Amino acid sequence: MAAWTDAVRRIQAKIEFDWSKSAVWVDESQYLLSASGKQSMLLPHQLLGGNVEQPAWGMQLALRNVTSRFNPLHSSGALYDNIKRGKFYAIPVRFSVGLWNGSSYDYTRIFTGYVKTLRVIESTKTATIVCDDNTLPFIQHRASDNVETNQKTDTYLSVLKMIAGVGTTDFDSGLNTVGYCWIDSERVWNEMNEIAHSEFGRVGFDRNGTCFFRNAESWEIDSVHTTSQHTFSTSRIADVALPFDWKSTFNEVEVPYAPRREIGTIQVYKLPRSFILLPGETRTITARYKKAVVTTSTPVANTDYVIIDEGGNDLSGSVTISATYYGQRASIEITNDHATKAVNVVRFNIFGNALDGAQTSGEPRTVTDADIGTSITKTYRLSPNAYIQSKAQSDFLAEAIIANTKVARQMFRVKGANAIPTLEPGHRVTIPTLDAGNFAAFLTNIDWSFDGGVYIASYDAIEADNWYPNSGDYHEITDLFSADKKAFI
Amino acid sequence: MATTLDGVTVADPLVPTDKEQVLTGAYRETLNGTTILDYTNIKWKFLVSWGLLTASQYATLIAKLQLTSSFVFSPPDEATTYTVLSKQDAISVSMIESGGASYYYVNAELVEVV
Repeated sequence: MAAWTDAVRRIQAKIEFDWSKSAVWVDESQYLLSASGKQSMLLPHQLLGGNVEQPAWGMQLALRNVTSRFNPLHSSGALYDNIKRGKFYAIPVRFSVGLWNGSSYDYTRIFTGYVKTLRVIESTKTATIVCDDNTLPFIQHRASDNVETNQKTDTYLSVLKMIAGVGTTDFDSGLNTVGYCWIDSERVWNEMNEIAHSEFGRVGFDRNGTCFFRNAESWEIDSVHTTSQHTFSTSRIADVALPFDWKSTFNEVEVPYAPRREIGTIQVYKLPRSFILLPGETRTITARYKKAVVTTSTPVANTDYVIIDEGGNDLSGSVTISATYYGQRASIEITNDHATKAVNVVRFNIFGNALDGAQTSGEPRTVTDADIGTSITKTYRLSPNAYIQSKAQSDFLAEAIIANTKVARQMFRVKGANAIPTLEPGHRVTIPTLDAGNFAAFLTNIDWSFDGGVYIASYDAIEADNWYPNSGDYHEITDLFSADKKAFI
Repeated sequence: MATTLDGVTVADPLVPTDKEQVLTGAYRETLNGTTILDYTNIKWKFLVSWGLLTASQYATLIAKLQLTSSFVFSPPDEATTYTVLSKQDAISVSMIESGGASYYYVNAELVEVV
């Protein structure tokens, strides 16, 4: 039985494209010269530092292009209609490696995503294709939506994923409930990241293209984090380097939060200047509110809006108003239905049950047992995150983060390893050293390549011990949680 | 067994045919000194030399060697056949005149496709 850990491995790669974007996969492996990729994961405290997003996993392909098959300018090429004039952008792609079992190849997917760029190199008759994971189609998708109240993290993630059109998902149950959630012409993927980070979780896409959300406790209960998924052996790696992560070591943390409260019905929008609509004319107003609203009051003629003719006579009955209300804006379409008269829209106000809440600095959480000692103070201040809305949540995050960052963690870089296709960032692995034994660590980065029959990778990992405060010594509250769940107290 | 290229019998090589293994892959040394191997395929490569070919024999041979698509190669003295590509940048031809006739020497490299 062949295994990826074998000393001798016969390997093939399979690269497939859905050129027509209709789930018709075409195997282009015969043109593949080499492939490489990167799978990275930022740790929770790194994400919270700047509200950054998990980096997209990438892949780069070198393809033989003797027949100009992959040339978007080659009008008689077999793929021309699919790749001409930038049509190659966002073509689905997937990549697998297969291990020979003695009679056939057993394939394992290591990348699912989309084509980002295609570059033809005439002199070498090759084409280079750069791909990103499944974030690519909606990484720049902005949207607006209503204010949703009392949303568990995974519930609101499901709202956002519907807006974005994300396909297959695997969401953990959210541990936190956010009082007020909305999106106002913001990037959906950024919002999905922010709300996940707000409870010390993370979102991303795995090697099979599934969008996942992992909550904070996943580190404590998911088998990929609690059980070593692979033990690297000195007989299968070229080297292991042991850097130290002082940069992420702190002895004080501060988590700002923004409590929200409903302040009742107020005017949130006022038309800045009147305008005229000719007979049959339609105009769309984007009304940006000064505050988000939980509910919008439907504007009433001659109260909230006034529409008159040139003589000052009411013509509000001669217009059609079609409005879509979001949490912090409305899109209002006004059509002058009058056959002969122009109308003057002189007032348009919108009222709603508004939200208020300013950013509040969290209380600094200081520890005296950090590895950097007490003679210096390193404060880690989180960037504002709209989904951190309560002091309790701020306290929880502060506790989790300081527990994570008070330890100066040993890092590992395993170089020249026999690549294992099932490994992903976040997986617990066992790292060997020549003199100091084995260490448990979480993978944070994988740089893999398949070239000339060799499937090799470098792995970055961070020490797993003491990942959480009181790790392994929680008080179990069995009447509230199932027996294998832990609670921070 | 006669030597055939693409189903056509050609002259037997003048000298013994070199048959070498080609590895698509690489051996690596690991941290503890173990040698490991990843590979996609191990194929055969044939270095074949013909000599004293008549013009007619030469014409038959070179027409096949100049094929850029794969063909079946049956080496001399071997029952096994191989699907090969003739490496176009490895073909060399020399000619001598003797007794008013031309004779050709041809070197070629045939690489198994799969």
